[in-house]
Amino acid sequence: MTHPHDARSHEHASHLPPIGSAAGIDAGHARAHADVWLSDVTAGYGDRLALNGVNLAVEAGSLLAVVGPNGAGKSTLLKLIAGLLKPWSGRVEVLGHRPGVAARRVAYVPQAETVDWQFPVTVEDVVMMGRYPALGVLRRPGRDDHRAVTAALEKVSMAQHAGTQIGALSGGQRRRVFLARALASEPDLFLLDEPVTGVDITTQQELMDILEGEAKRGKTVIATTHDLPTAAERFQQVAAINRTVVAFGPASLILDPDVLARTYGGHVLVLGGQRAILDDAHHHDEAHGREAHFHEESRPAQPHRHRGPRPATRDESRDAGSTTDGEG
Amino acid sequence: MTPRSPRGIVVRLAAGVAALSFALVGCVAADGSALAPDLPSPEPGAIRVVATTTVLADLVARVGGSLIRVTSLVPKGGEIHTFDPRPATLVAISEASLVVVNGLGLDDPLTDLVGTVGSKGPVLRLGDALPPGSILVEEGLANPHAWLNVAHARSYVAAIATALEAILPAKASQIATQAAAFDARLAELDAWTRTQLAAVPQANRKVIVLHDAFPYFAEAYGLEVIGSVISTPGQDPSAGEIADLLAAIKSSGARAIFSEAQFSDKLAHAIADEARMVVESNLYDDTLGDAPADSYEGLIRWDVDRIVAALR
Amino acid sequence: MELVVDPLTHAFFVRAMLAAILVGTVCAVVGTYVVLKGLAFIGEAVSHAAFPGLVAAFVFKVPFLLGAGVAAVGTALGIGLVIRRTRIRTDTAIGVIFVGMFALGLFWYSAIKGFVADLFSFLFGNILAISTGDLVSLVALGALILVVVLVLWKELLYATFDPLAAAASGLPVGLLEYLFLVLVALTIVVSLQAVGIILVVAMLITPAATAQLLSIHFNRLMLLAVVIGVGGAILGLYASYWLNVASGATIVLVETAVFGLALVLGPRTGLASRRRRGTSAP
Repeated sequence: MTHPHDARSHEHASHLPPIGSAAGIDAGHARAHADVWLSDVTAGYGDRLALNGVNLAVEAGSLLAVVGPNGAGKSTLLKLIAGLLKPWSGRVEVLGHRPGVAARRVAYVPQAETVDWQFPVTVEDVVMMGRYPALGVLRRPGRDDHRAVTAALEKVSMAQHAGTQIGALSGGQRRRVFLARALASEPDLFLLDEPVTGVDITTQQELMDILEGEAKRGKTVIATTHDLPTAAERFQQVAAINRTVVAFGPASLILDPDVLARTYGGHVLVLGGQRAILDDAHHHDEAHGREAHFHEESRPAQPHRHRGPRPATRDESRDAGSTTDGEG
Repeated sequence: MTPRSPRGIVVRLAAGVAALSFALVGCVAADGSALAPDLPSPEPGAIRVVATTTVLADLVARVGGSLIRVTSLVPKGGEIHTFDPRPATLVAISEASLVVVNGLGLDDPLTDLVGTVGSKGPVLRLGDALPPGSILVEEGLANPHAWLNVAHARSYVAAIATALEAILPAKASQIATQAAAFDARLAELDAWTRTQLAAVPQANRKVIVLHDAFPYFAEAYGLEVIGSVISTPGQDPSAGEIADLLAAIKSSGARAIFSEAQFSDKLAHAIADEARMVVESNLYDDTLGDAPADSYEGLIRWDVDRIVAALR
Repeated sequence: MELVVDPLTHAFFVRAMLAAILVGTVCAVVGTYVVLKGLAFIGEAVSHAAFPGLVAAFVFKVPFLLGAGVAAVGTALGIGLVIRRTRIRTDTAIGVIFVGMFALGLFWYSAIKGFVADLFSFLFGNILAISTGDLVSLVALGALILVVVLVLWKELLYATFDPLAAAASGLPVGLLEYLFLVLVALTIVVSLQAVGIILVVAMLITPAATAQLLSIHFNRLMLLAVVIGVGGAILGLYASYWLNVASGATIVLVETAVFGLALVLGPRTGLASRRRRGTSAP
């Protein structure tokens, strides 16, 4: 099987020197105590390549931010780990098994746009869904399940909204509910796609506090984000992705201009100590960009968020390969 | 973006549709399956009899007179092959002391329906009353239109009389008298039909029919049916079938196409134009029509007059 | 009172009533998922696809339920396969398959010699002409559908609301998807005899769509859909009896009228605030 982007991605990757011990993982020892382990993984949708030659080992108790421009393959990486997407080649191990085998110990939180928020369920219903897989067929939620749901709701400060229909929630509240569902399933591995994108600062801090707490308890947390300052300040580790792992290491790594340049293709603007990405890819690919942001209407636009119509998020196959075209 | 008061528009629209629905239901309901006006009205205590078609219903009514109340399942002008029964039809079936069907493939689905719904009394299958060997079979399928031979209609009448006498033994003599009187009129009708058809020259006796309803008539009264346009009601003929038919017309010199009032005569005219034939599209066979074709006798006289006129 | 009791003295009407209750329930339950998944078009496709099955059943003299069931389930699974495995647009795939299947039915139908009026009754249905034997098989099939939904209640709900998260947490979402399509096909088969191929989608969609205007809680929504479905079917059946008109059409019209009422008067009326759908539905 040949892919139009193969050659190009290899070329792109090959002139980059490895950064620290990051991009290339010496497989042997890392694999042993890694919760998530990827070795030379290539994946895509249909005939479009999204990720190429990915090596990654995430240890238990990590709090890892996956950053990168639109279409870099961040969501794809999460889907590979969640077992929602099969790699074309390479190996993926999650909690010591092939992806999907230990699914009940994994909580995946998709981007907010992937569900119908007018769906006739309440906050409590949604969080209870986190308990369903472990309950098994035919068993109804019992006292333990209700207790777990209540605890999760309290943790994300949504207990008073338990009976609210989800359509009535604000963007930040929706992210809280999704996180509560993940918490209720009591997983060992959290996979969160843009959990703090497009929410207000308070919510962002609270959600990060919770994730930090889970990591401290030994749970592994992997979250994609567009928010570089948050990635740098609130996560322990960062994986910079652009169709492959460009850099992997401590979170502060992402503030390194060299790493930024390699990840974002040089479109970086330094604004008073904080960094914003002028991501050309956004402007080229908005119409069908996959890594859509969650827009909360009331919130003022931030420098790194693109404006304009919300792109379709469902059809993964259309865009994954096209994004880097803008970066030459 | 939103039209002025969408609520108002919807309400008005809905009211309009509802009004139209009631008007239509009213119209349809008014057009019942009334039989000929000269039939005696049922006396109090008359038993309910159901027949599948108006033709059979008329025969039954002539025999039963005021002792019975007859309903036809397929209404006047209705098409038996695409008939969709209404609730009142099913009520009639479930209350019927006798159900009269033709059989021979004419009304099988309705007979099944009677079996499903369940009637109070037995089912009389008139086709079974025909003399042995008289049923015409083509490609393995019986042709059901036996009543268009008046002699066969007389067999039907005899069978109806026997069935009614069994159900109303106290009235057996009255039924026998009425049946005998009607049979005498049918004998006269049979003779009249023969006389009328005798006037048609031998060379003009080849005909095409739209649907294959006339073989018994043709056999009894000396016509030759060259072919039919529609092999199965509700199914249009294929191009190949039409071509075959046109070839048959050409080689036989058929003179006229006969078609029934309840069918569209478009196809008949199309073929007639192609083959320069006369179309007589106002015949009745499966169903009665308006007066004077509103009884079995009237139907036969109506058809004979038109057939003779077309072939003379 | 007589208007209500009188029809019940006829056995056929009682059977029709039982069938109406059964069809109303099963359609509303499965229809709730159909509406929430936005799969109305698949219902349309599967019902038309049952037609060649009916014709084949007629020719080979097997029960209509079997013929329709095989054709409907086969088509539903075929559509599922095309959607999941090919890159053809969903509506295009469904359009091609369902008209193709219906044409196949007409093709076979035209090839049959003799009268096949029974098949006509399947286009429009006749709930009044349901035999005791039919009713027994309908009840069995309907019960099977309801049991499956009841057993997989949680799993179907999670997979419908958030298929990605459900799949990641270990639910066999793909399998549930196919199973659901089979349920839709069987529901349509159960309802065919009552309301016919042409109207069956209304039975599936309308009660759930009405309930959606009135409730925002899943369980209550489904219960409401059942009440509307069964109530509409019974009321429509009576109305068709009183007015002496086709029962299938009357039932659908009653349910449509209830939908209209909910639309105009309901608290979440679609007229006042147009409902926006997210980008879900697999």
